[in-house]
Amino acid sequence: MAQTPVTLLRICSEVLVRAADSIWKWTLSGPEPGSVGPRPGEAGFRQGLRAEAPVRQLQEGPAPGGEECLGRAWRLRVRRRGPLPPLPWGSERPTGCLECVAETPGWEAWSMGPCSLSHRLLRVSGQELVLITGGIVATAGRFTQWYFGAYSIVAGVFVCLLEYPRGKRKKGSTMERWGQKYMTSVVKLFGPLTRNYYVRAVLHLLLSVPAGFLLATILGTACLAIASGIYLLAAVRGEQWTPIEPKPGRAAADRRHHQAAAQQPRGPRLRPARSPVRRRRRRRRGDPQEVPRPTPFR
Amino acid sequence: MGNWVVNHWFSVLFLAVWLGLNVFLFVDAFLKYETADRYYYTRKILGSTLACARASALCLNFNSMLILLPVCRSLLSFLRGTCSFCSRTLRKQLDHNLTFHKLVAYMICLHTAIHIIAHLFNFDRYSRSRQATDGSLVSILSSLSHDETKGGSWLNPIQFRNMTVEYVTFTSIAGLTGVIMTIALILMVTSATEFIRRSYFEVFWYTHHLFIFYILGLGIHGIGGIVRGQTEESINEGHPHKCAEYFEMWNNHDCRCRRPEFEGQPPESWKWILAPVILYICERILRFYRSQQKVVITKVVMHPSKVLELQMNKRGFSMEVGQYIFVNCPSISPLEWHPFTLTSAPEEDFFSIHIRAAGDWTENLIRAFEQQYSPIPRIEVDGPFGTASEDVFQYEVAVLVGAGIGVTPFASILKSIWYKFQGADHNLKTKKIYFYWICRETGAFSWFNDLLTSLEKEMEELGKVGFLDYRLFLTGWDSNIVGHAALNFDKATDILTGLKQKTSFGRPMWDNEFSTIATSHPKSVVGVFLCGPQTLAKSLRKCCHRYSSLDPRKVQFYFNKENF
Repeated sequence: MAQTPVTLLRICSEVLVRAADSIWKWTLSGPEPGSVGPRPGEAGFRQGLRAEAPVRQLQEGPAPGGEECLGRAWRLRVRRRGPLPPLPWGSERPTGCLECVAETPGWEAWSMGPCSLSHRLLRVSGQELVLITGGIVATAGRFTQWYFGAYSIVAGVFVCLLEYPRGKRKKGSTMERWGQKYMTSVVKLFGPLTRNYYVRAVLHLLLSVPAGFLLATILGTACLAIASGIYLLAAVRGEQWTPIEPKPGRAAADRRHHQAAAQQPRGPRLRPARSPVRRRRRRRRGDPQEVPRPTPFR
Repeated sequence: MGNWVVNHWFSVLFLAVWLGLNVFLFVDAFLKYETADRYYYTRKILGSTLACARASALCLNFNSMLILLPVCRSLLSFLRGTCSFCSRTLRKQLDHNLTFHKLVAYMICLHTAIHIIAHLFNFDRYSRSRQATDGSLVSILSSLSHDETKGGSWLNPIQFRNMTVEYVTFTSIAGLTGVIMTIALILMVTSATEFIRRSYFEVFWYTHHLFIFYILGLGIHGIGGIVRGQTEESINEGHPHKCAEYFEMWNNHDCRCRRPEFEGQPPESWKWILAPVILYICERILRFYRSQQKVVITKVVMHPSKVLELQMNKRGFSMEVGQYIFVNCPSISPLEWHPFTLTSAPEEDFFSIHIRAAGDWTENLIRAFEQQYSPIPRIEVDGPFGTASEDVFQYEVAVLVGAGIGVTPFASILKSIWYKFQGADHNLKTKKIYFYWICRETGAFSWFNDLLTSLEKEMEELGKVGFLDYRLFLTGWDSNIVGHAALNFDKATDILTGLKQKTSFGRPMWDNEFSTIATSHPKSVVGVFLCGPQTLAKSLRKCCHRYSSLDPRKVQFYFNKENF
């Protein structure tokens, strides 16, 4: 499955970014003097802005400098609070608004860990469809050398099936495609032939060559060639395809939970002590039975 | 059903007009090429696929014109500002710009497929007619010379018998640009899937800039004039309907019919895309110019759970509530721009953003600001860009729902409403606000917590306790927390948040909430604003439809979802 041109584009852009980066660092000698705080004579800046120590650590009480800031300041009372226990279930993936798009303000990697190159591309995308469509057109139209078209249909379907099961990410969770587990078991059978990305790169390259002889399927060739390059790059970086194993079902997890609970010693089966609220109310009402008795342990 | 129509009539109308225009252009061009006399001889070789290809080309021009417009953020903000006299429904459509962009992209893909398939057939037929030696009309037409000095004007782009279609494709401008454009399109579309955008945004962002190749290719695609039609004089001399049958005698001098002469069509794609390209270039220049303006950081605050607040000032910066800005930190990454919602109110003299640490860029930024003894990194800011929350003051009753990190835009809204309320601003139509904050835990939002505490205090001081009615729902609860809360039931403030309003656990029951609001405000227009997950949007939208009465004088719920 040919995908995004991480090869050429990414390499070029990384080179450019690195070059631009070093030029930036050379021209930028840090923030210019006076960039924190108002510059003299700058219109529109109210009195009261002053260069403060840049970072506030966590502290109790109102943040110093908060009151003089510009009109009515929101008093930031930073309170240290213990963390709440973690959630039992995973997070939802919100969509739509800025905060919801990736749950992070930075539109960064949603989860997790180093982006595997193969994951950037591993999708059943329109690119197999390009190969298959070209093949169908050539075969149906009975173009000259239409047998290349028939070949590309077969090759396209094969690559589709090979690429359908998404590989597991190194770190974090991966979402499975619908119905992927059937193909996973088939793809797993071939062992290193499907796991190794060098093999996949070579396979894609070889499959793309015959399709290059026919104009209708030449786009498919280009796509497969790009995919081959991407796999090569991923293989050089040491990635490989690992199947997503199905997690043990909820029933099994529940069973384990119940077993663990059953093994714990049972506590006393007495009713819990009455809450202090009730006791206070009774005392106020003057309940004759609830006379507080002095105890040595209060 | 009635409520759905009332809320969505404009979108439906807009999409219907767009689809209708597409269909009209396709059919019109198809019929033109199928029936015109100019293309009589071309059709003899190519058949109906000529008309197919040209019709889809016209649709491609039309859609390529439209695709750049929804992503001109400044243009949309400008329209939103100037059309403030327009009704809410019309301005809300500007929120759906990205959806429209995607629809137009899908239409472009569809027409590209039709165009390519039709041209594949065309090339094959040209090739066969060039190979034909039976002296038929098509072979005579194909043998028309390419040599301009002999006065002949050719029809078949395949000049010699041994030229393959691949050779013609890659040596003609149309073919080469077509291949480049298609590869660029495929790469753009495949890297724009949700999976890639969510997880590997830079890949999407850099790959999507291949649109430059697409636009350039589109501009020069038609220069070669491969689609040939008969010239006017040639038709006047010998009309194809009369002369086509006597093709064997075209070379004879005594025949009335001379050899037909052909000319290529001038390229017309550039006429369609010129204006949007200029608008987009202006947009990018504007963004760049804005980003070069000096940004002064006046205050940096580290909140708990690694939340960084930056208060900044920029000359000429003016914002509305709920807008967002793009921030770039050249020392971390010179090319990455990340959007952040503004958390300050327009009435304040600074603008602020709260940045949570999640991902490489944000973590690096927070680490850079945490260094006590190194200079503050330089920040570039572009924006602000607008969203639906600008409309929040126009509703008498506002229901604000913030889920998780979606609570950030509401910080700005609540502050602004408070300032307006204090200043007795007459433009503020809002009389009552219901605020629902749903999150798993308040850890990373303790700054928002403090904002609510301050608001509570201010309201008490002014004696206006009824203006803001907020409820916090903690969905990440367990028996420990609930037990704790139950034990401290009679305390005045909530033990978890310190707010006067008690925390509820679990998710809100929207039916109850909406029916309460509907009964308390039977004649008002209620605006529902959500910043949160899609599932929540669906249930809120359903509730809005259900509890809006069909009578426009009674309670009406309008649902607004922020969209980027």
